[in-house]
Amino acid sequence: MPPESRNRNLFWNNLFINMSMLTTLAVAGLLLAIILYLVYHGAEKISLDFFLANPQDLGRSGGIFPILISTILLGIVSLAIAVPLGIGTAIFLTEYTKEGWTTTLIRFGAECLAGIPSIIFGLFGFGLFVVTLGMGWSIISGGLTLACMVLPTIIRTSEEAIKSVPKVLRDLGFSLGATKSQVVWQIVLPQARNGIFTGVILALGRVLGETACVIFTTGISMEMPTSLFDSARSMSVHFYLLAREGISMEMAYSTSVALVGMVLIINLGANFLIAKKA
Amino acid sequence: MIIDTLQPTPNTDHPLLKTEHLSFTYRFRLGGKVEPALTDISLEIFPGTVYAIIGPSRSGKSTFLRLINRLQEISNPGDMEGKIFLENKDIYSDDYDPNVLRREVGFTFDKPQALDMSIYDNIVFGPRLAGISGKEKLDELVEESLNAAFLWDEVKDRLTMNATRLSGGQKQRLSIARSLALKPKLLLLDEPCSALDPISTANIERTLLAIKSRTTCVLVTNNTKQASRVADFTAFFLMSKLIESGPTTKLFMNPSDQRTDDFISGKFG
Amino acid sequence: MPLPEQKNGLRLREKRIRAGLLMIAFSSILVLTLIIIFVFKEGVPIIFSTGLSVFLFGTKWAPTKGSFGIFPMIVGTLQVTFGALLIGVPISIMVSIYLSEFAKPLTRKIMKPLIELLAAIPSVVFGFIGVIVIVPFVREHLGGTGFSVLSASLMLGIMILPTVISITFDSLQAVPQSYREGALALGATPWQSTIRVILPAARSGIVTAVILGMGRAMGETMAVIMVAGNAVVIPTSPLHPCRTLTSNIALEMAYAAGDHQKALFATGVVLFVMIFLLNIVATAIVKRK
Repeated sequence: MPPESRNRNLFWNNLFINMSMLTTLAVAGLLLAIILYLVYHGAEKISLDFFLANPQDLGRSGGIFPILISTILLGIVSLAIAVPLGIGTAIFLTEYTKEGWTTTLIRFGAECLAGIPSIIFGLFGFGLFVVTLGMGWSIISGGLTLACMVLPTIIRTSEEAIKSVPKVLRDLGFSLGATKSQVVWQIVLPQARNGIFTGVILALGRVLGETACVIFTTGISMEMPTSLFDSARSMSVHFYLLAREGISMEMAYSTSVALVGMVLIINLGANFLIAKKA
Repeated sequence: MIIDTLQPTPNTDHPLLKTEHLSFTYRFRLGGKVEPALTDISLEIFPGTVYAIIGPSRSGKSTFLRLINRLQEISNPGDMEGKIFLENKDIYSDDYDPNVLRREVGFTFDKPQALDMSIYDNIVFGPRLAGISGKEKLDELVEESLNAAFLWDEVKDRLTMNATRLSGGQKQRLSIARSLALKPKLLLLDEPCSALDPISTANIERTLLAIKSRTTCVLVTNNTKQASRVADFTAFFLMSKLIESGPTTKLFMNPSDQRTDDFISGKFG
Repeated sequence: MPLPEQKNGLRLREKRIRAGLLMIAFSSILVLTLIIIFVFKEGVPIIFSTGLSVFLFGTKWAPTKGSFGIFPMIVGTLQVTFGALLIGVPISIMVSIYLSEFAKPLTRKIMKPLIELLAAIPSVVFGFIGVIVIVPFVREHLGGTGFSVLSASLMLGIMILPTVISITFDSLQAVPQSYREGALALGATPWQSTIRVILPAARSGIVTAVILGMGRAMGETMAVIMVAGNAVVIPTSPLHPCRTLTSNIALEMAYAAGDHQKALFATGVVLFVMIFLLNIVATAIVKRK
């Protein structure tokens, strides 16, 4: 190859590689910029008071305590429903059947669910739980709806985790006289713990960040919920209303910092725990 | 020489394990003709002995073992003909609960594998499932089993340590101890030393010789020298058939079949 | 070893456990069926009472007066989605290529979790950033109110980056090393090898990534409401405001009643069918290759 065209080739080669590198740095920079921007504007209002005080003046001042509690409750309720169902489904798919029309059907159901936008879950939750079943705008309505939404995530990650358990361990359990359910419960699941946990964390992250679905099923009340049948406001809903209605930009920033902070801590914490265990 | 000390004297006239015309073919979904994994295997194994099964790869040795503790039907079902008797009871009859069978017949895999829990919990895993409880009883069981596997001295001070941190040889001894905790009548071992260094291998062989009076051992091995070291009786499998079986000394020194002689002398393998 | 002979009880228990797990496993199908029933039950009748072509292609949306034409919203959704893909996919591919083929292992180790973190940020936060940063930027430098198709596309493009990047990255990594070595041995530069050999080899994975990104963009609601302007018009320029199907539902659901509410469910039906069809088409394209 003549030297000139070789040089030309190398020129383009290096140019494009550098371009891709810059793009990557830009994306990384973007993330950091977003976080720093929010923190810069919102950090001043963040204090223990912020988390523990009640909102005043429609949220223009005060804290977000009841909202924090509502958010946590929503997370607990939705995971309490979705996790057993999701893991149960995953166990059934991997341990109790062979590939066939049953598994295809179940997987198809989960795939479709995964692709449905959250607003449609909002409509569904409103139609079924709030109205037809008469639960009204409540944490339980929201929790049930959110559970339906994150079910595919938990199924997918649990299945992967269970599949990665070496076959020998199952044989080992059987050879010691264990029944199928004993092998699954005492050997396979503990071994798949990490992967399943990651899936649950991912689901939790989605639940915390979800807005459209929650507004139409749990409502927007800022009061401290006294039961699961009370209407309540989650942090992302609060944040959305503050920002959109222009109620208070300061509080919006602070809430977003709290929200993003919560999500990031949960994610990082989970990754850290998993890396430690490995 | 080791071979001289092996005096095959069966304890009773009744075999502990007997197979009658045992055949097995894997079930493949891809269609087409499938070669059988086992063809017409009939043999008897007497209590108080170590019984070795030798032969080249793909001869059906592991399949044979897995049929005895009914492990085969769980992951690789196929078509089986013939019968297997443990103490004169047909282990495939509807009355015989496979879970019970698997406590009577222990199994050691070729890859040293520990459950992700403490050494103590590994050993008591089987007994707990069988309903054995009570700290004193379990403690005693743990010491007894680890002693039998010649592992007690090495781990007695760290029973709470996670067993996955043991070495390969230790894990394999642990596997044997784990099976022994259920006090089985028969212990099946599928090439237990294939992944081990010579010293660990010697440890395992020492264990087999020590436990055989209480727990009859059936050992599948690719290593003919190992068979000559530890086995009272040996069977030679070749391409799904039982070619010859008998006292180890006879098989090695004066085999009836030419193929046996060829395999043992290393003409093929 | 003496053992309790619980054989029959045990077998029954195992059977019960399997039956229980079977029922649990059908929960995903059950939920899907329920969703379809409830959304379609409320929405389909009004589509037909209005008339299918009037509903889908009518440009007049005055629900309180009985006019249900959602064509502007369909256009809005399509424009915003494809705008997002236009912006997000090239960037994602560039980043994935860099991380998979050219980055140092340390860089990869830092960047991957960073990008995953981007995925964890709630969509409303992106909407917020869109309002604070993107909208004023568009307004000052490009004109219009800033609340526009362009703003929404930019924001959505960024939001789908993590999804598309991670799947594209995995697809590139799955291409066997021998492909790279073969291309280089024929005199290609690393970049040429990537573009001409590796990328095509990872094609189906990349299409999957794009499909998922598209699904995400089409389904996004709150963030789009915050930056897209929400006017019920057919945008003829990227600087015009628009309203998507999702925004339509979210904006009016709070105070809609009767036929109006049913019309919003109907919007949901249309969205559902659109996503379903697009998924089928895209999957068919993947399968054919």
